[in-house]
Amino acid sequence: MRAGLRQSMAWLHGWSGLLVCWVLLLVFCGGTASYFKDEITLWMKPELHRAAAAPVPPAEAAASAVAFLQRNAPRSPRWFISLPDERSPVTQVLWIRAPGEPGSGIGGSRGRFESRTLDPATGAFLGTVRDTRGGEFLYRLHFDLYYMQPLWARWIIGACAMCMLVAILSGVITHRRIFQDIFTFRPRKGQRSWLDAHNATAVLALPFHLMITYTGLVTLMFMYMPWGVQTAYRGDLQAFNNEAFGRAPLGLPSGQAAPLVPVAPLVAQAMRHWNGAGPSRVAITLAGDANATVTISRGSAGALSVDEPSMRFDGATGKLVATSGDAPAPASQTRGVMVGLHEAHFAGPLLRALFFVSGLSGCVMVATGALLWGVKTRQRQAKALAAGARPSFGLRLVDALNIGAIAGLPIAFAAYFWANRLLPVAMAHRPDAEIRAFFAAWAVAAVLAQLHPARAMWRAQLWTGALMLAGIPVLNALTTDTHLGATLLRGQGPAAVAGFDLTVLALGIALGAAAWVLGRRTAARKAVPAAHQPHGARDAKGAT
Amino acid sequence: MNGLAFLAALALVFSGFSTLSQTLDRHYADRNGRGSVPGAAERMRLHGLGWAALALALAACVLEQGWPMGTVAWVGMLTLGALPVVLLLSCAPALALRAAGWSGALGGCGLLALRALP
Amino acid sequence: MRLSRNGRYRLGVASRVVAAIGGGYVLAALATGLLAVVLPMPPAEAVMTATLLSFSLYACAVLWVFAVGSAWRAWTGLAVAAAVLGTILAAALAAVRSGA
Repeated sequence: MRAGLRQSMAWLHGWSGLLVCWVLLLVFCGGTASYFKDEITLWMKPELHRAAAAPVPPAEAAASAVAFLQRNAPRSPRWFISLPDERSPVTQVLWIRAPGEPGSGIGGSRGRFESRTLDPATGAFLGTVRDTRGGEFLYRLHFDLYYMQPLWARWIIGACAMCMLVAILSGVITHRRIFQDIFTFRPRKGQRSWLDAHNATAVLALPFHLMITYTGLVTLMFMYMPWGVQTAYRGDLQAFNNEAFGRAPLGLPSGQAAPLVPVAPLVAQAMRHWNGAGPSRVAITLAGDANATVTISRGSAGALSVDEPSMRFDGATGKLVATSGDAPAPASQTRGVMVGLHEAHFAGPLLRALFFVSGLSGCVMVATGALLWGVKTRQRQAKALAAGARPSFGLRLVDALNIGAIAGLPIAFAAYFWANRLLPVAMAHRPDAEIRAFFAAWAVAAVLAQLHPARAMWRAQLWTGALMLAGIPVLNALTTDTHLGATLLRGQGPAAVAGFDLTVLALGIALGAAAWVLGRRTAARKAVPAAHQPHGARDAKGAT
Repeated sequence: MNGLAFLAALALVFSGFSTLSQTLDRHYADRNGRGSVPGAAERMRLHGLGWAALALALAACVLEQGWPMGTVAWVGMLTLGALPVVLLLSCAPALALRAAGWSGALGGCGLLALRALP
Repeated sequence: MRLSRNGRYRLGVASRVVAAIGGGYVLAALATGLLAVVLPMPPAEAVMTATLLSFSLYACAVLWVFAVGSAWRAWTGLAVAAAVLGTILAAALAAVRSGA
């Protein structure tokens, strides 16, 4: 760690990367999948594939949603309506249970909300759709993890993200020939091939990696670094939120009854103000009271920034009270754009595919980094291993964690999708069961990896992942009628469903290819009359 | 981003990076024999063509989507377009260069078509 | 307590890790708090700018701790920087409180 900047940065890069790489792999896999979370959710709800046909105008969808809420949640102080768009063909409504209703006080903040998915044309509750968290689970997984309080998870992920940032910066500093080596890839050369793969996936998508890590921290920056609010606002978070984001606090009921104005004309007025841009959300407070408000937010689909301009109307009279977000201040806009770049909400299908490819590049970068550490360490211990010693504790642990994460995660993802198709549609707590399938599959893979971290385990798990992923389109064909035959060959079903089937097929084939190459190398090594091979040792996949 | 802009940008990025790779001694030697190094004039020509192709790719992205999203799309195209260059250079370097010329031409045509479209 | 060379190395590493993670965060926090009050822009904007910058400051501090010559120098540097920032911050807050 002494001699020179490059050496110290190399040390820092190795350790800051290694200690968090398995968590980061989960974050990258979940995050990359999240770019298509709406499409994943649609795939996981075959009952909706027909409804994805005819789009409904936003004003109609808003009106039918309000009618549903007036029938089913008349005394709730706050309604939220998410209007349908190209990526999600249904209306989502969310409301806070009114005080005094059963269940309004228990279960913490999650327990106070109720949500439903509605058919946008009729406002009817789509009750028979199979219950699933869909792509939202994968999205939440990458920052809220699971089986723990979100607050803890976000601190853990934040710490890992800081390590990632340090790893990126130290990696760039230590990479001596970053421009000369930018296109270099030397296959079948053992450690050097792993290094080349790690460098290529890292450098070719470097802007993305730097952006995604920093903007990831920015999305929760007031949690990680509240000190600005502490000094400038003496800790008054509400005052800061009000000034920075124009959020009005929930008003108090006046006690006077006043019917809610029709929402459709307000939506039309908002669309005129925004030159035809569609609204995405309607939030209504204290419906039926004289102090009701209706806040309509514009979809940020056209702009990089995630901050949505909004218009607030008086709910009893329909008068416009305030508009915000039409001309945001520079720092606010910077933050909005940063969060927007992280979420890529603005991206159409092709641009979204580019983000997805960069995300996959990130997954490969993390995986090859971890594998490279194992290869280098094995090289250092080569003499001892050849003499019959066991691998060191650290090496064995890293090998086992690598198998469990790199080969195990694809198995977990595949299990989640298999569970979606195989579990009975009407079962109770269905979303939890699907999620349990994800973690159960992962746990089995991880435990088996710890027991026998050898090349055979790599091959077994890679083949399992490959078959499970590539098998999903087949499973889809056996369990629904919106399979590739209909969606792709006959061109009728939702394109998103075809895209999902093709993507998992491609990923399965890629894993299968990796497993096959690994098998050939193992066979080649076995054919050579080798020196005594130590128990449990796993040489580099590319080693000659 | 429409399909034509995507393909034109991809072709141009591939062409640009293939060309630029030849300014690096290692990849020039891959194609022209060990130890050979591009001369100063040739290096300048390669740099010029390569960077021009990347700039035209930026034009293809921005033309259709405006500067903010176009720039984001371009950065993504740089990643996607560089990957086949890396793979080709490691398996079939000569092919990489021949393809560079063709894809540059095709990408250029695509860009002209984009300008011509309403 | 006499440490072997290996022991001293490990202690140095451990010391730097603590300095980087803990000391770096304190430094970034102080800088954020200070910038939020002294930047010449509306308070919401100043807070936003300061917080946006905080992670780069933290990362730079971490890199510096591991690049610098010895763990002692790392701690000294952090302490001096924290003292300077802390003093200016205290002065700025006092000025704001008495002025406002």
